[in-house]
Amino acid sequence: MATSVSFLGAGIGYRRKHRDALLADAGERPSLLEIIPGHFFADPDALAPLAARYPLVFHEVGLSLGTADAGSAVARELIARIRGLIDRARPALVTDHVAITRSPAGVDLGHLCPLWYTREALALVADRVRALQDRFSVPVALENLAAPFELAAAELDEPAFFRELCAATGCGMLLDLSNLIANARNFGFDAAARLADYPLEAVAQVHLAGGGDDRGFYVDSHDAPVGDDSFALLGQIRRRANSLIAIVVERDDHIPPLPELVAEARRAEALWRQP
Amino acid sequence: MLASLQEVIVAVATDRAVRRRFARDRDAVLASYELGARELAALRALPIEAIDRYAASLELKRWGELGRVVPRTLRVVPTLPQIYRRWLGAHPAPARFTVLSPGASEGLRALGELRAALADDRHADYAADLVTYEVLAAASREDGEPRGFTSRFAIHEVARAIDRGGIPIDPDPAPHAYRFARERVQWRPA
Repeated sequence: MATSVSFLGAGIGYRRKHRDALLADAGERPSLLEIIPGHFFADPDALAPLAARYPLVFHEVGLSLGTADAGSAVARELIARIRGLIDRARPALVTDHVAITRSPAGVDLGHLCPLWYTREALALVADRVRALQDRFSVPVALENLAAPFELAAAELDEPAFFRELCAATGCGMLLDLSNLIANARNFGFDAAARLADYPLEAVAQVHLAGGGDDRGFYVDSHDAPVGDDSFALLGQIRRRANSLIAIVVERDDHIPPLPELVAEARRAEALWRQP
Repeated sequence: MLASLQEVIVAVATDRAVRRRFARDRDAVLASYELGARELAALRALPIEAIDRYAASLELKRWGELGRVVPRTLRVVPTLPQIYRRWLGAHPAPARFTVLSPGASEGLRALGELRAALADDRHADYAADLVTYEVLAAASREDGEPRGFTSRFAIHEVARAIDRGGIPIDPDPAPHAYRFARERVQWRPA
């Protein structure tokens, strides 16, 4: 990935309930914050104090880069708004997912849906990534999903899709190690063995999160501490992901006090920085 | 062809009637789309239990977002999640840009239906006005757009009582007009 940004450390996903603690003069603080741009569309000024205090990375969830349409008004407006926030806050990285969140006809899923890994989809996503790189002028990286189902008869597997996408566009990969573990459990493969198939040299960011079983299906619910198995995979890529900019601990539900989340991020950062 | 495959997946994941037909007679559903052999193979191999699980997770996620916007109404109407999800399964959301949170945006989209459902005799007389109060207040707090409505009740008093841990039973009608803005809610007897 073409970037001159060095490793910034490990941080957490910004949530409003932590705002006061994050901006306080004393207390535990993460090395960086991951911002969901949509949280600031209505009030962009609220981003300034965070940008003044922390390195930021942006994490979008709604660009729907794999939707096979001619480009929607929703995507155009989202991109324009994100660009506006980039100008204000200068994040080190902007990420989204290899996924769809809406249909070509414009029905919104409200969440991520796996992409069918075909050459047609690869060309489509690659074109959109190039457009984002031109528009954003900061490095772009794309994330692997915790898939609710697998789509058969694909032309590529997920690691090959990411290898080709990163090679074709120069974009980075946001490698969600906990998503990889969820997929390994649900679809029966060895996460540690599969890891080597991803373009580790292009990994710009790592996500870590906790989840749990729901009637036999492992759900990446972001409502629990990061599991030891995710930390083990982080250790496994430590010497190979040389483009890494950020590690982010995600928590969307059962959000603990800030020091608990920061402790998880610290654990990840210490693991990454150990000699 | 990729577009058609995506249309099928989104339809079965968001539209309960399509999902039922897909489970019952998959080829009949697929026949209405322009699909090649590879797309058909992929869609015929989709396990229905995985689609059902995914569809349920999408509904739960949307309810979770909406539920955060209407916590008081949920206390008064514990069946609100079922009421909402029944409607959602027949009314997939159109994709559109908004500066609002997903919960506030969905609250505005569903408000007419929720008001109609909560106007039923089985619910508190003020339930429909309470959900309106919560949704409009949340939306205006987020985007600063002024909104308003007139209630048959002093719904701000109802909200306060719920915040104190109670659930008002048959409050006397006391019509009030409400105006919502980013920083405040204003009311006056109507």
